[in-house]
Amino acid sequence: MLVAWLAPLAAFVAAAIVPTIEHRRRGRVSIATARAVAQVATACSVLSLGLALVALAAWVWRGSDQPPIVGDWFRFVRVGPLDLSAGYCLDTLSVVMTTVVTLVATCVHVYARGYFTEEMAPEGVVDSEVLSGTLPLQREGRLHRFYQHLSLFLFSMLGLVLSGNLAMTFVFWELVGLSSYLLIGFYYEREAAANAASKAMLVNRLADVGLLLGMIALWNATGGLVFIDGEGGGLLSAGQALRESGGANYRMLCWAGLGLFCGCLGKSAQFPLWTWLPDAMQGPTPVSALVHSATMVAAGVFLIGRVYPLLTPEVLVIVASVGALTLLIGAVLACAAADFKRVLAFSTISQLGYMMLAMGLGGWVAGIFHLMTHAMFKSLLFLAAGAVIHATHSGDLAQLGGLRQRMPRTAWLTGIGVLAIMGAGIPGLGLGLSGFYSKDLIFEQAIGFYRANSWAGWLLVAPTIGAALTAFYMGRLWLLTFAGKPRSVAAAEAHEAAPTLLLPMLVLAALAISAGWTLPGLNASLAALLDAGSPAPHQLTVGTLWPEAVIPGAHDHHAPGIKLRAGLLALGATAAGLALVGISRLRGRLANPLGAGVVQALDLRTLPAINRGFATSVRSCGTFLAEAIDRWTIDNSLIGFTRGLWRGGVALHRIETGSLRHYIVFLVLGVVFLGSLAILAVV
Amino acid sequence: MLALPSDTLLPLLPMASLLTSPIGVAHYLVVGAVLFTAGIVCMATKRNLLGVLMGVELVLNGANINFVAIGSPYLRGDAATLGLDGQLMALFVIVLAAAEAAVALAIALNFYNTVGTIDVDRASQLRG
Repeated sequence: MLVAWLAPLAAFVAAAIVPTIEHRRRGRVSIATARAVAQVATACSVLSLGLALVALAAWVWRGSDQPPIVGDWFRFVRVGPLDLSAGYCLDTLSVVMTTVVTLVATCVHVYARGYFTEEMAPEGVVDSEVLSGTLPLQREGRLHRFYQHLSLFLFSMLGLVLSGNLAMTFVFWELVGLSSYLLIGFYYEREAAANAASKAMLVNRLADVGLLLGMIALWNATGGLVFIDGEGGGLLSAGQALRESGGANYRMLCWAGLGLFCGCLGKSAQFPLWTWLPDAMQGPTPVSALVHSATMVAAGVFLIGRVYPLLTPEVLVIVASVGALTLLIGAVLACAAADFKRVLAFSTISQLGYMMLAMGLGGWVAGIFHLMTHAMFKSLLFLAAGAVIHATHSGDLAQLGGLRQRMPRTAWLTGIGVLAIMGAGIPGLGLGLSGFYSKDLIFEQAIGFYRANSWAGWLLVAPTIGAALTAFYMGRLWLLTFAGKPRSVAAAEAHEAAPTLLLPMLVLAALAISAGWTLPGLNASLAALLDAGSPAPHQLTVGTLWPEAVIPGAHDHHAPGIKLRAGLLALGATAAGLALVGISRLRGRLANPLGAGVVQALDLRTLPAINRGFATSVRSCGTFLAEAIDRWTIDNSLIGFTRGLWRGGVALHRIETGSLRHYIVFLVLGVVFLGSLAILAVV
Repeated sequence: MLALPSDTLLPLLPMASLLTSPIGVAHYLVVGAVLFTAGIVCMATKRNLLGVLMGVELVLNGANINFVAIGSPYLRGDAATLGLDGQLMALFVIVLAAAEAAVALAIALNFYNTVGTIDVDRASQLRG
């Protein structure tokens, strides 16, 4: 199983070679070098994909259901007794995740070669969005830099997915954050891009404080950070035992779960900390496709899936509630957004909310499965957005329209992505696009959860409304971009995307259609593979602190009647959303379906206000700490202490007269004083 | 021998009994203390560096008298003394005093060469 570990190494070699080449050629990096760098990086990515596929095949051949979690352990650093070693843990989750990450990464590597044509222009790049003086900024192309960051990202993401203990996960968690920062700020001359990068960095660091605290609490509760050790023990089984017994450390386990979830809030752009993701769209579109839709933002869901046995029912209910809230907020904002990529960004937030919701409802398989299918169709949609932007130099929906005639292939591929994210399919036959299967699983889970917890009706209502909104904003997006008449000169003169752009989209579209299918004859599917490797308990779990929180068992949603009901619910919601799209198109209100005031209020007023309120509260808290604790208490005590010392010194300085005869008198007085003290002590 | 109204005065003067008792260690100690005090006062009041030096010698000699008296077999009897140790110490002190006087006189000479006087109150260049 060492092959899978070689995959990130190959990508890392790519990231390491690039600066050397760059360094050797002082000054300007020539186009030939940049092209060579791109080829090396792409080759390494393809190699990673090949190895990941080999690992997946080996895994399936070995049988993922025999040992529920099989971890191979490779230790090459060990610090004292703390065992902060670097290792890897291979189970169904990490193998499948590796495949998805390398697959999307390879598509994006290929795609970026076609996307960044201007970065390879011999006379340099003219960035019309930045003015230097009165002219547009002219700068050198930096394709090599893009591939360097991309390789670093791929390496860290694979390290995160494969890592065998929480400390190493944390390291790579921060590394993907760093590469995300670098990639968002790729056009760092643009002020918006630089700000967006800083914002993403800051929001994520805030969340990572929670992750770190969670790790400490977890260490406290279970005594280790290794997921699974060689003897079958480790963090996960210790936490699971603790959760089942409800022992003395149960409360600590809850805090640990909440802390880890707090880290996921930032990375996966959940409810209070989602605001960085729409801004992150300032990065190049291939980056949005890879980092900010398919892989990095899904790392939060992955981490929840990784530590799933540790999460108590109380924590899971919080996860589900936050997920439900996020999916509604994201969907509503996606309906109002006016930019192609912003719609997709809010849609990503909403879909991540779906994954979190599924996780929280006890649907490990549903959540991870939706992560996989979402990676396919959302990166497809982002690549399509890139193709549109590349052709028209604008992502503003008001400037697009009518592109179906000019770019028929892109329109078709986008349509596949749109249908997949809506979850189009026929419930009775169980046949549909990939999103149909994963969304149905989530609905089944929600119904199962509602049966176990009668108070949790809104956790079923939220995804239903969300599904209708998904159909609405996706239909709106497609119609505004590809249907109707061109609304600008650029849109009217757009050209079909180049084959390098279309090929990765084609691959992803094929997977967006088929990722949920069961292989005929073999009875093997992604969902079945995940199901066999699921760590979710098979029986009901009841919260110790809060007995009303009941997490249904892993297979409770297979109860008769649920599947058809879930399918009909999802189909009904989607149909309602589509009907709404049709109505608003007929009434000509598609561009601004919620009314100008609502858009203003939501996207321009509410969001900044929430941001500002949050930032203000954080800052006033910080100001209070700085003023009251630091500047007043600590500084003043130090200043007072030094001032007292100074004054004492000045006072004592007076008796240093410099006169020999005075010193003799002091000497005598001192001896008399000490002598009388001695006599008093004796008497 | 002075005739003192011992019945009335003796309780009032703490060391009045010395006047009536035969000469012993205590008398020598009193002389040493007087010399010591005279030396201290001399050191503290004289502005002349040589005067201060004489005060130092007086202090040392006061100490010497104490050594000799306490170490004396005539005053304290053979059994109570420490042999020759007292006298030996006094000899050491005399040697040290001679060395100290040599050094101090050298300082005084240099001081005179530099400042043009041996007034110790003028030696205040290192005052903080």
